[in-house]
Amino acid sequence: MTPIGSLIRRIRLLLRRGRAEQEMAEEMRFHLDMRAAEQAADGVPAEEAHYAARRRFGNLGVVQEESREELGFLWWEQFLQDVRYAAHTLRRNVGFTVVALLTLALGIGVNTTAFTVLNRLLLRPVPFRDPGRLVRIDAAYADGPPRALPSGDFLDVRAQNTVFERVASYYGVNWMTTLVEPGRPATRCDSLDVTADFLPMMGIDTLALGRGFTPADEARRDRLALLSHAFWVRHYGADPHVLGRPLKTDGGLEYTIVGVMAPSLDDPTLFRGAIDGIAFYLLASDMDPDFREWGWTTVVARLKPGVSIEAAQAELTVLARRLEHDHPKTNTGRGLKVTPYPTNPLDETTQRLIWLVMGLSGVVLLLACVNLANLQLVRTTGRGNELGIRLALGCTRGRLIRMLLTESVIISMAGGALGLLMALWSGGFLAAYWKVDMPLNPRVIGFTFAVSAAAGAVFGSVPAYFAGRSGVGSSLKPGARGATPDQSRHRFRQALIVVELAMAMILLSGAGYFVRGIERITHRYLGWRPDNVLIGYIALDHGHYGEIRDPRSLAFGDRLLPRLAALPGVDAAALSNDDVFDANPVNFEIEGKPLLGNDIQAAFETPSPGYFRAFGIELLQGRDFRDTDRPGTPRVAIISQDLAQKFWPGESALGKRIGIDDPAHQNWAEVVGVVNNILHDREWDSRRSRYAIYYPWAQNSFRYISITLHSRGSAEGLMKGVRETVGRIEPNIALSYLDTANNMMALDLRDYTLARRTLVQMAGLGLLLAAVGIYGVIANLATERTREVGIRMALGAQERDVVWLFLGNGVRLALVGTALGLLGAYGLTKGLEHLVSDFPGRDPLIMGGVALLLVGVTILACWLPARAATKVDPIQALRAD
Amino acid sequence: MAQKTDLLQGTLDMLVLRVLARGELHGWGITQRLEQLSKRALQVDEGSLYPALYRMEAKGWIEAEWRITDNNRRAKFYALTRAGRKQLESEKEGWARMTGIIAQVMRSA
Repeated sequence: MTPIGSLIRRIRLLLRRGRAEQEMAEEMRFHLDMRAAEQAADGVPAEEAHYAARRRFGNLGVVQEESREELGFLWWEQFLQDVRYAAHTLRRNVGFTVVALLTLALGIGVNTTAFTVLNRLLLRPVPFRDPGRLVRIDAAYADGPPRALPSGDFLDVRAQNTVFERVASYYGVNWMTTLVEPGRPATRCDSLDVTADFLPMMGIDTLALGRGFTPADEARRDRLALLSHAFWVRHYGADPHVLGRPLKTDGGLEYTIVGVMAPSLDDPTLFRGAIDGIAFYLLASDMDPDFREWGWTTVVARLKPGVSIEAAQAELTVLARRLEHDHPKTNTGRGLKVTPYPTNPLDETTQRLIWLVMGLSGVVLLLACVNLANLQLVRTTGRGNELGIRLALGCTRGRLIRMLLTESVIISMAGGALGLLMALWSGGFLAAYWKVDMPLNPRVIGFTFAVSAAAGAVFGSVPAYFAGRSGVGSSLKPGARGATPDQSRHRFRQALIVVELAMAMILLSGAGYFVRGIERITHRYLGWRPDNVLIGYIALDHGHYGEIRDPRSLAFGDRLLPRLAALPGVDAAALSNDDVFDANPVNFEIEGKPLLGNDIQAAFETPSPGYFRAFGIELLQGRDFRDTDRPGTPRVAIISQDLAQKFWPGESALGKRIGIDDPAHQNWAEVVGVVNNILHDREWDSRRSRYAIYYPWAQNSFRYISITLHSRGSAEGLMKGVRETVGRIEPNIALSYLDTANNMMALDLRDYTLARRTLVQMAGLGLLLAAVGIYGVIANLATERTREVGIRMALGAQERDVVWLFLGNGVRLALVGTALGLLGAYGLTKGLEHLVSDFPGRDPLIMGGVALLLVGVTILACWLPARAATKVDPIQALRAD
Repeated sequence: MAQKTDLLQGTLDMLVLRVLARGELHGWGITQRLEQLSKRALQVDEGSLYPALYRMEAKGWIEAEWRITDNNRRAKFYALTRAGRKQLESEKEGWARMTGIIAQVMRSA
């Protein structure tokens, strides 16, 4: 019979068990009847005949068992038996069951949650077509990180390359626009500005309605929009007549809707969580072919088939040099860098943190298993009698082991189910946090199932192993609880304690290391005061406000600033081109000093008077900008302290002159003030120097304006007033964002904050498990040795001696476990150093602290039961059996 | 408890196949025929017969069918399959070879 055939047969038999049993019984009954008839024919009386037949046949019960085995459902019957028995035992030992369930629920739940995050954010395939062929093109400089490619360069790369199938550009991940419609409240939605090629290139251009963007649209500079399916349903109620309708944004721009995307593309992991639906805008108007100063979009390209990334890089290097030659003013020193396009929306650090949390939660589960193994061992010792009897009655060791394992697996499945519920609850929280749904999909459920089974097997194997080894006789003897516990079992439990200590040590060290690192990052020296600071951003339109230094933008600022400053509760108000986080790096020069290389850069900002006051930045020398610093008056500058000290050590920088991006040396600005250094960008692990140069906003006004206010009370209270003020001056626009500085920073740090909180919770959980486990085991060992204690005390030992006995044992274990743990923790942190930059190295403070903590717990765990043991009346102890 | 017949398991299978080669029989019939053929010298451990029958059925060497006997009782009749016939041949061969080897050892030792 083929393997499949026999498998089918077995399954069929299994299902028709009842009938098979009946038939078997009937068959054997027939046989016995015939034998009895034969006997009767030989003259044996009827009753006797039946007995004789039975005797001749053999032990009917055993034969039926064997038959069942051959028929292939013995194991199933036995399994059901084991399950029933396990349920019975668990019900009787409620204490153990509850503890086990809770421990497992926590241990498994933590792992399920971590896996849900891992699965959703890291392991899911990216919805782009053939993502391995996608590359990113940035402007590269000899020093410093790559920067965005300006539109002029982008268009040249697109037109002149031979290595890419398509080159596209996009902007606006996490950028929102406000849509204004007459008669409806303004809606905010995620938006993405894209070139016509972008969606087809990424392979995400299936449409449900209408058409996509075409190069012809781009050539005409039409303002067109595409809606995502979710957005179309949510905002337009799936109205099929939406095509051709206008979409107005608060920037004063009007787009025509030309199409709706397919629902299959409503993937929240695309572009970092645009879960409410996204509107795509054609990035045509701002693509100035002559603009090469700086860029703000991300350029992505698809390699032609057969072209390697190195070949593409080589061609672009040549192209970059050509651009340098053709446009020396803007492109000197600018290379073109080709790198693989990162298809995971999360940055490296966050990814690594997620893996770390996954690893640590595995350790927590291991701790839980160790605890449970210990608990099981204790119970098995107590069940010595029952198991001994089973063995005596013919139960094979294998069967016994199977029975114990079944029990463990059942508990851990139940615990796993509870853990799943826990994960569901915490998953909801995480989903809201990451703006991505974290469903309990089959993969996650399968993971939980597997983990539960594995956990059950792991902690069940321990008592099973010992059960298999105990002889029948020893456990049936009276006083089987043992004057001294079984040696090997005792040693094993001691080993478990050591393992538990070591693991707890590793867990806590790992978590502590990261928590310290995160704290170091988040408490970085800012140099300015974020409390009660409100930051907003306005984007005025090009048509009305022109380019940089256009007098219209200056006029706008002149109208806006006094009104903002006049709002009730405002302590200081200011305008600038960028907020304190987004300063652009520039090259600069000092009058009278040799040329500085391209690698020396300063952060450049253009604040109005009142800016430093609003941010709480201290003016160390000279003066702040004044209203009199305008176009037409001499150019002035304010510099940071480090800059002043580096280039004019020992003397005052006031009155000296510097220039920015000014090879012709025409536009020196005179230094009129020095302020303290501040942290200039959101790259939390940047090591840039703290050089900063400030020019007055009035002399550099632009239509993208950042507003800063410092309020006397809470900054939130000012928000309404600010919106109204802006609206009164320019009713067609709204603020693109408006939030307190603290909120903005919290947003940047939220991944770290979440990680830190998770790590602390996990470390706490692990410590709790370890402490409970260690205490439980030692307390139990002490209880088992009650008899021994009684004997010792009867023989004259003092209470102190007994306590010392236990304590000595415990301390020895603690030292061994902690030593092992230190080794492990050392290795772990060494490995971790490579993972995350800018984190502190091995921190002796953390490891020392954790070691002390664990030793303390162990000592306490030894001391308390030891004392309790000595309180027992020796006579009682000797009698107890 | 099953250890006793383990050694004879292979031989029992062969004997049963041999008996069934002559025609279909139910379990009781097989027992009787074996006693008959061996002139009452072989008393099969009846307890091991039925597990053996089920095992051989699982392996596909025999197939079973419920029928009415001459006495108007229901019984399960077993018959040899093609695979069973092949198995019987190979077992006969193996057995002959083994007895030959044993005989040779006994003669020479």
